[in-house]
Amino acid sequence: MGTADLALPSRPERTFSPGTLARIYGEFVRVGFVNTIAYRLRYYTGIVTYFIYVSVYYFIWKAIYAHSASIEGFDFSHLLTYVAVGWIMRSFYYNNIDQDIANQVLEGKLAMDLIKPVNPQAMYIAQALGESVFRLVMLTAPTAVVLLLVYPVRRPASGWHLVAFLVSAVLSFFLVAAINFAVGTFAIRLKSILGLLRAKYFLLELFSGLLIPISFFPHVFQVALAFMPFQYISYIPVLLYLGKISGLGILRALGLQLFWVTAMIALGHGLWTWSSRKITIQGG
Amino acid sequence: MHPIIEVQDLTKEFRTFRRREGVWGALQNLFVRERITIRAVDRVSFSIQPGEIVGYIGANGAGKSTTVKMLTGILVPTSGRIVASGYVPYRDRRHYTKHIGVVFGQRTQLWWDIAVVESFKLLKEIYEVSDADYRERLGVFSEILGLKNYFNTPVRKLSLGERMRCDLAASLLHNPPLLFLDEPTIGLDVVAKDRIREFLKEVNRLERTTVLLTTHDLSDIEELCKRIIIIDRGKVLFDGDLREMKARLAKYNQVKFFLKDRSQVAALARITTNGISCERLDDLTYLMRFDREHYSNADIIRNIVTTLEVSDILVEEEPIEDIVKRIYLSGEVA
Amino acid sequence: MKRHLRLFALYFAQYAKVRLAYKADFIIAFLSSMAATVLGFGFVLVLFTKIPKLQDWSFYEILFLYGFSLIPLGFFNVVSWNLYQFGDLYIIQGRFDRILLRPVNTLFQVLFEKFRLESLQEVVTGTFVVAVAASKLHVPWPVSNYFWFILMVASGALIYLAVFLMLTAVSFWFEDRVGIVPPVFNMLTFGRYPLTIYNVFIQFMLSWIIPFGFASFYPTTHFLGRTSFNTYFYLVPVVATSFFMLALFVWGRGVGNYSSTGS
Repeated sequence: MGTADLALPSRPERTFSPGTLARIYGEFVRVGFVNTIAYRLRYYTGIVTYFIYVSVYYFIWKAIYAHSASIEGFDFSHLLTYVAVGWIMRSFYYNNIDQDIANQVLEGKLAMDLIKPVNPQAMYIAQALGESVFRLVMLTAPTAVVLLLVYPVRRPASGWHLVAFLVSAVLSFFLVAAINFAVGTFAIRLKSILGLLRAKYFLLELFSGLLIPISFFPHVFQVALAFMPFQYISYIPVLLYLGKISGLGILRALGLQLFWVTAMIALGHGLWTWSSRKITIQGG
Repeated sequence: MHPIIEVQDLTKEFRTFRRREGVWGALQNLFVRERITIRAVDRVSFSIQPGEIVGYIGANGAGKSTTVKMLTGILVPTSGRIVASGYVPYRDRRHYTKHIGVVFGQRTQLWWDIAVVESFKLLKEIYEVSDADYRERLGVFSEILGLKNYFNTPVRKLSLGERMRCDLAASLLHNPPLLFLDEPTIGLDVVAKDRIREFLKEVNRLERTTVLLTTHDLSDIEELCKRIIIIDRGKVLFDGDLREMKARLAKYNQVKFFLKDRSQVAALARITTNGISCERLDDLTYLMRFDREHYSNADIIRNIVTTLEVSDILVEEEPIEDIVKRIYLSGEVA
Repeated sequence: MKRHLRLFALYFAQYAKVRLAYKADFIIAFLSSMAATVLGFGFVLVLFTKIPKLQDWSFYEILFLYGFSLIPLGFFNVVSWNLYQFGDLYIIQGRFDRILLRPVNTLFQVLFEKFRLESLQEVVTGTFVVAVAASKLHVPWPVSNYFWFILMVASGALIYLAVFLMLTAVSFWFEDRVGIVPPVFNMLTFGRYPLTIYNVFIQFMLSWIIPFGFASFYPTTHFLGRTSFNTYFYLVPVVATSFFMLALFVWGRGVGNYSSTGS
């Protein structure tokens, strides 16, 4: 038999119009939003737990500032605002994509993601976006109101800083989602990624600047962290809020944040392709 | 004889919430939810003698699984009485579990990650089976079910049919007098189904194990059960002998016949009269249904052979699927 | 009791066999668990480059407190994952039916379904940190302290177990994939600072509602020779036992509720 007989048909052209794509992924956003009922306890208790988180860090920092009026250019009122805004943001950008992927693998359902005519990465991120919009309404907004009423949180440095902060917060969501997706892909090859998820959790808490501003770190760490995406999750957005970045620096910060979002999405895409080959070859 | 299972006026009600649809509904669902009560099992009564194999059948959501969950002690009834093997299942659950075997077709009882034989060893300890009994039963089971080949395979790597065979063996390791099977043949191919039915018959014969099984697949019932209980919307519609049900409830018989050649087709119209319908299966094959009360098999066959040239004739009873389907549709035993 | 010990040994042996069959996975799990523990110290380490003391607690005293809290936690974490995923796996996916079909205590089956042996590194790390801190601080260490230390570790582990058991049992009433275990799990760190830096409400919460203080702070004060909380120190085993009894009660009620509502 000649090789001509065995030739594969050429790859089909991409047939989805941008409108169709928007509709498909829009549907995933909606599903993510509506699905949150499965996590309703989180919303019943969320405001209380976030209030407790911020309160505990309020007292820890209060004890720290008992010794000095200003550390690395932050006085106590800045630092309180830093902590409160950081946690409020977290209530919005947080998601469990990594855990979701791991669960799909454990339940043997990941193959289902492969047979859908959609990009799994875009699907997971779209669903997480739906969830985050839900969180914004049901968790972030009420938490913010409570915290602003109870603690003397500073206002944003200026209108422009507020706008930059809001844009940056949305980018934070995509950055966290992209990182979580990338970490989640390891579930396909490993038997249990619980340890990895815990490590990632502590890594993000510490190096995103959520717990402590990056400028408090020893110099070597600051230099190293400048080459990593983590501080763009929390530290940079909150600095924008506080007005510690100004002028062209704002554009530069947002540009770098966007760069890291793109880079992490590319990384996640690569990891998915690499890992899903295992499913298609060996079976889920 | 004293029944091994006695169920009286067994009722189970569930309270759930109605979920609202859509984006606004999702927000509402968090705070205000409308309660609804569903009566899944409604005053069900029956008793089962030791050694019986009883088919418990019904459509999806008819209350089969809920009944089995109450019989196995997982669920507490809302009202009514169950005594099985001398225990009240939900009250004496931990003692009672030693006297029953349970297999859920949809879910394995075995440990996902460990080899089959390791699962068996764990169950041996859990049910406190003696070494001698364990060896003997495992020997018997593995012979009838052919388990030897995958004793050392982790459960997650087994095919559905293999897994089901292992689940069955596992459920019988402690030699329970009572075996509950919920959809034991679901998703299995014909060969695997057959193997499992043969095994159940064998166990029932050897140990006089009483079996209650729920199923969608009525061929399970025909193969295994003398007696069936039909449940629909929580209520028992029929409880009795399978043959008796057929005799009482079958409305028609059917005749399948094969025409010699196409020239005969035109003559078909002459034989379909009142109370007889004729369905074309393919070019030359036809299926005729007729009312049992008005016509005898002999009448019909005579009619066919005198009117048509046929190469073969097959007379059948109404399939049990059709009878049961009719019962579901009418919601009562007419 | 003897039967349960035997069963425990069997469950454990099974787990070990599975785990050792995938050595690379185990090593990765161990390394990431280790990384998580080390990263957890980050906040304190960075902080003390900026300040000499937290209230009147020195760096090594805080390290002692932090290290000590890891020891009971490490023991608890060997089984904690079963509780962490309980709502999803057992209630929503219905595995709890299987648990009810066996003649063994339900809690026993759930707790020992899986082990996370790598968590024992927290015990080792914690002990190491405590030892280093104690030697730097020249903490007097009478022989009786070994007894107290072990008792405090056991009580601490029991407290963690009790707290998360109660929170897990909530899944019996509220069908929820995540439940409230994770947010409270993240509050474990709050017990790693001197409770005295908090206001009365948080002190009360960490003592009597989510009693993490009894698993870390109160034992530590005594070992460090701070006498102001001595009564609390002797109360630790009592608190642990009481909370555990309460947790068992709640769990039992939860199982009852599951049987009457189904899933």
